[in-house]
Amino acid sequence: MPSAAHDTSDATIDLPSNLSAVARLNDWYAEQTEGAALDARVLGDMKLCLNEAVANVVSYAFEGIAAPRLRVTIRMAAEAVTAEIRDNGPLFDPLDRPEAAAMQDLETAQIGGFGIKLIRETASTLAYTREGQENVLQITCRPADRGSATPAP
Amino acid sequence: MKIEQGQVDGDILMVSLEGDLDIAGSSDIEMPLSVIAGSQDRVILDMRGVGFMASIGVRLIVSTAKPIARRGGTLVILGPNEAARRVLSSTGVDTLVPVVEDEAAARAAFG
Repeated sequence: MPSAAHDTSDATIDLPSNLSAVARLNDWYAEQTEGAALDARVLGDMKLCLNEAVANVVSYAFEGIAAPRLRVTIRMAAEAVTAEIRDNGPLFDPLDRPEAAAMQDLETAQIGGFGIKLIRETASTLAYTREGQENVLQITCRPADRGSATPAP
Repeated sequence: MKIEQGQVDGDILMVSLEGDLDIAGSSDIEMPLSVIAGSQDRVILDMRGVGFMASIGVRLIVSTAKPIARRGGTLVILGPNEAARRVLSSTGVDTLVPVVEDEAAARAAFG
């Protein structure tokens, strides 16, 4: 969110490039959102999106990357919370992936691939851009239009 | 994440979770749930104390339910909050594992 670099409501964290990033993220997110006026459901929606997005990045993006970088910025406004997840992994547009199909039976259930589906079904808006050597995913959650980022079938 | 176990109606194991079912929480309970999955045939997974669940929690529930189902047993999920229920629904887990609102319904799910 470069245009709002001086907006005091922005908060940013640099995260480690392994799965410990998610625990760090959640501790930080709890601190940032404590006492926030936003609807608890919306804050929970963003927590889910961030958990899935960050878990995906640290699980898949950094193989062979010498100096991995992962930065999350959130901005809380009266009616929405917006997040930006920025990593220097290879080009990966999560919005361009086929959606995981819901599990059909327990025995053959494929466990995995649901992170992006959950983000799509939870976020109000989603946008991906490649900026130089970085993937940038922007997520907005608003109370009124949960899941409206889900692509049309 | 905390996990507690207790017998209900003799042969049903009630497994109560408290905390967030995120990556750290799932890691905390992976081992005890694996032991339960290998040894118990009638299990209620009480999620009334779970405030948040990510897809890692779905992975854990499925990997617990699968060996139980193979032996002809049942895992029942009790009382997930609205957000956790959406995750269960989105992934299709709620069509494979019974999800109920109260203890009476959980007991009834074992027939």
